[in-house]
Amino acid sequence: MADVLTKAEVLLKAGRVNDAINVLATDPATYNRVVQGVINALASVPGGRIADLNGNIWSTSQLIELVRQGRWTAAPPLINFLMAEVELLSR
Amino acid sequence: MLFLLPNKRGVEIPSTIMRHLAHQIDPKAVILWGDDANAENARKAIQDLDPPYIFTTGHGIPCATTLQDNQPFISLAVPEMNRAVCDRERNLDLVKGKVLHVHSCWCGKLLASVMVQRGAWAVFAHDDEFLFLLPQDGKTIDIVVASPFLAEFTVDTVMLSGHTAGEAQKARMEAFDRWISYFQEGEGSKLKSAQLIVRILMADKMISKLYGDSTATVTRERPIMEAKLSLPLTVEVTPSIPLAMIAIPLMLWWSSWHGGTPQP
Repeated sequence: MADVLTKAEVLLKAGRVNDAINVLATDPATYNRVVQGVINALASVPGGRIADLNGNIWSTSQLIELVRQGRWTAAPPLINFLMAEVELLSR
Repeated sequence: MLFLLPNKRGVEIPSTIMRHLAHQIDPKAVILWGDDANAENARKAIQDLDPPYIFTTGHGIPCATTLQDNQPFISLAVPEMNRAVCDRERNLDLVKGKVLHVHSCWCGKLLASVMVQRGAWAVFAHDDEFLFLLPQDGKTIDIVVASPFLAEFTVDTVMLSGHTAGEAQKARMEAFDRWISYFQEGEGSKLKSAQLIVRILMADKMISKLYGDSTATVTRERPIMEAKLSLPLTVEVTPSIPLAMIAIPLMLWWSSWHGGTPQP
C-alpha cells in the first residue's frame, strides 16, 4: 500500500490526477480506502456546503455522488481531498 | 498596515473574521471594508500611506486578484487567461518593497511570482483553491467554519509581531497542523464535521505558500500577540442591491396590481 500511495502522491503533486488515480486503482484495497475515507468525511456533514474564496459552492451530497462515479476531476475540491486522503493514509 | 476587506461574493467570512482580528494584530491598522474596499481606494491608500504590509482578500485566478464586486485589483496582462480581469496590468507598480498577504484562490500560481519579480519583498499566496465549510445556517461562523482562516491568518499575527516571512510561513504550517490535530485527536474530534474539516485544513495547508525573500520583515520584533476571536460570529455583509431598490418597485407593482397597501 505504501508504495502505491507514494507514487500517487508524487503524481498528484505534479498535477497528474488521472495518472495518480490509475496508480491507486492498481491496488483495489488501497483505492477503496481512499474512496471510503473521502465519502465518510463528506457524509459526516449531511446538507453541508463547501466553498472557495471565488464564491463557488459544492454540496457534500453532490461531491459524494461524483466520488462514487469516480469523477474526481469533475469538481476541483475533490482533487484537493484526494491529495489529503492519500497523505492521511501515508502517515 | 493596510487591510483590504471586501465583503461580497464569497469573501464575507474571511473579511468578517479579519475585521475582528486586524486591530488586535495591529492597533494602527487601516481597514478598507465592504464597498470601501474597491480598487480605486486601495490604490490611493497604498500611495498615501505607503504601508510596508498589505493584507488583501477577494476572488483570484493565476493572473489577478480582485476586490469588492470583483473589481480587478492587481493583475497581469494575460488576456488568454481571462479577458475580463487580465486584459492589462494593474497596480504592479505599488508592490515594490512590500510584503503582501494575498488571500485569494490561485494567485500563487503566477501572480505572486511576478509580484516578487517586480520588487515585492515577500508574498503569501495560495496556488489552488482555498476551501472552507459554509455555515449551516448561512450566517453563523463557528469554530469549524473559522478554523482554516484562523490557521491562515497566523501569517499576519507573526509578520506584524516583527518576525520574518520565513518564520511566519513556518508558524502558518504549524497552525494548520495544530488545527488538524485538534479535529483529529483533540476536543474538536467530537464534532460531527471533524472528519471533513480535517481534509479541508490539509488541502488548504498544501496550497499555502510563501514567495520571495524569507528574511523579509515589516516591523520591529515584539512578542507575538494573541489575537482572540469570540465565536460564534455573524457574517457581516453589504447587500448587493440596497433593499429600497427592491422594495420600492415591488410595492409600486403590488399597489398597481391590487390598488392599495400590500396585504399578506
